Amino acid sequence: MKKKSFKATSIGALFLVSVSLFSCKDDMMPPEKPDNSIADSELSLKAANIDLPGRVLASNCFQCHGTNGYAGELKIGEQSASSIIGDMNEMKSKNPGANIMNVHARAYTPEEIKIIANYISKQIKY
Amino acid sequence: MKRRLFLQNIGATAIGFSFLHSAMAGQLAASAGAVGRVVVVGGGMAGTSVAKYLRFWGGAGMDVTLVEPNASYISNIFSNMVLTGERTLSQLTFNYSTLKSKYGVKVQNSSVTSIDPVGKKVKLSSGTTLSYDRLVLAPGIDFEALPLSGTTANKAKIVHAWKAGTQTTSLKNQINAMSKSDTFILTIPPSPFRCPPGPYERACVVADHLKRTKGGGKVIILDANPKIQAAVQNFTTAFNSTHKGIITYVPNATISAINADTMSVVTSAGTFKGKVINAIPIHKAGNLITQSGIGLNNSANGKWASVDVLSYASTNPSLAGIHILGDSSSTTQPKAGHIANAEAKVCADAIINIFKGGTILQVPMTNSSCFIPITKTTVSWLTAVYRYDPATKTMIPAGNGVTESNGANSENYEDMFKWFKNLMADTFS
Repeated sequence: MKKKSFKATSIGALFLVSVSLFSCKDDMMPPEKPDNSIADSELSLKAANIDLPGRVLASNCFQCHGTNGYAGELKIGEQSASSIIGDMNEMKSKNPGANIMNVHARAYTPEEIKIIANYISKQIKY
Repeated sequence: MKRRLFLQNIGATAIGFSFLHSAMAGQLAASAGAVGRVVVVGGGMAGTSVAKYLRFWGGAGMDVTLVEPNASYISNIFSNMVLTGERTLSQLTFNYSTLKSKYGVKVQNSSVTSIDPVGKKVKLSSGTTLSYDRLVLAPGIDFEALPLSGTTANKAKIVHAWKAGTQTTSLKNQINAMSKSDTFILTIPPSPFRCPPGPYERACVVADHLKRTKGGGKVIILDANPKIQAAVQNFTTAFNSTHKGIITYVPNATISAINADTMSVVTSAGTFKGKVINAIPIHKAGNLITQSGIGLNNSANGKWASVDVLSYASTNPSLAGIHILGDSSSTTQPKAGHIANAEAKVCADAIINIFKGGTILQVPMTNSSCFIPITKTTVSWLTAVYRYDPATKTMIPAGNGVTESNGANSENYEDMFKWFKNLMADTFS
């Protein structure tokens, strides 16, 4: 519950920032430099959020699927844990040489897949 | 001083705190748990990834400084496509601005001149001295000298282009100047070398390029190894079928001399002449590892750093608090950018947990994946997931083991670009 509202707030804030960046382009507002920097307190908050068991296992997905699973293409973030588990189990039945994900899915135990899926399903875009 | 003692004590009793990790997961503000100073040396795939993930996972209590002399990094991955004109070096250039702005990593554009493992300090060429609680070294590779003779001008034409940059441009220009009756010689050093499929991939894309743009040409691979070192099935097909008549593969070719004036290579398998000689020298760990004088290069042959793959800490007992990541370390994993990123995450997690007084993960996993162009439109891949084996204390391939694709195709070609984009984003942004 807490996490959901945090996610909603972040998306809202991002939306507002992007709107303000575009809208103030030509008007009389003082020029504002786009600033990606994150206050230390916010970094702590986000770090706390991702401090769950399984982050090292789950991070093996990030190279291809983006940090926390949020790549532009091949995104796996925002999926439920059961959906990720379902996908991984489906991949396990494919031909390894024809499906790179088969090799990855087969490397993990069912318990590890659960941990990975649970971890990724709880992450936010960063 | 007090904090350092405190951290040492915690390290000694880490097992006793093992219950903490699961009990506090998700509740503990990271800044209250993980507090410490980490200096990371080297802004390649391993060093950049570890700097990012130390802050990303460890939070604001992690004081992370990345030391890298270059203002930007040029990716070795995809650099074979610069040779064929499909990519430019600027398209493969990444900088550290997001690391600074988004993750709060401090970046020092400087080199390390000395390491004091007792006082836990590094000196930089800029004159600055940095103190650390943990030092992570990721200086990549350096090379042994080639047995090269000839005039200075001619010797300058013999390049490796195995670190993307000016040599890549030189090799590209030399390939462009070839005609269809010319020969391109590629020499491969004995393993281990960076990116095991990389040289064979280069032979394929150069052969394909010569065929397409010159109407023909010859590529001779002089491999010091007894056989192809990675993706054997797909490269065998490429050499015997796809690029038949262009590529000649010569195994067991140990080089004794390269004459840049006559453009000839003398090997244990014969002497070969070429218009272009692309000589990849014998590898060793980055100079920082072999020249530090503090015992970082403690592998059996003194060329690499032996590490504990649970944390990538040096196995030299007098180097407590120093970790070596990526191509400089000697492990059972390949030397390559994708897996260096994974090793970095294992190392970051371990350091954070040590700072928090928790235990480190006892069954780390990593993975290696790469997409390998065989022609301009067809791509194969090679992948493996590695799991820690407590019996041998090494990372061993899990599940299906090291696996290559069933041939090369255009679908993999599309996936290759997604992979590269996402891998570089997970590392640099």
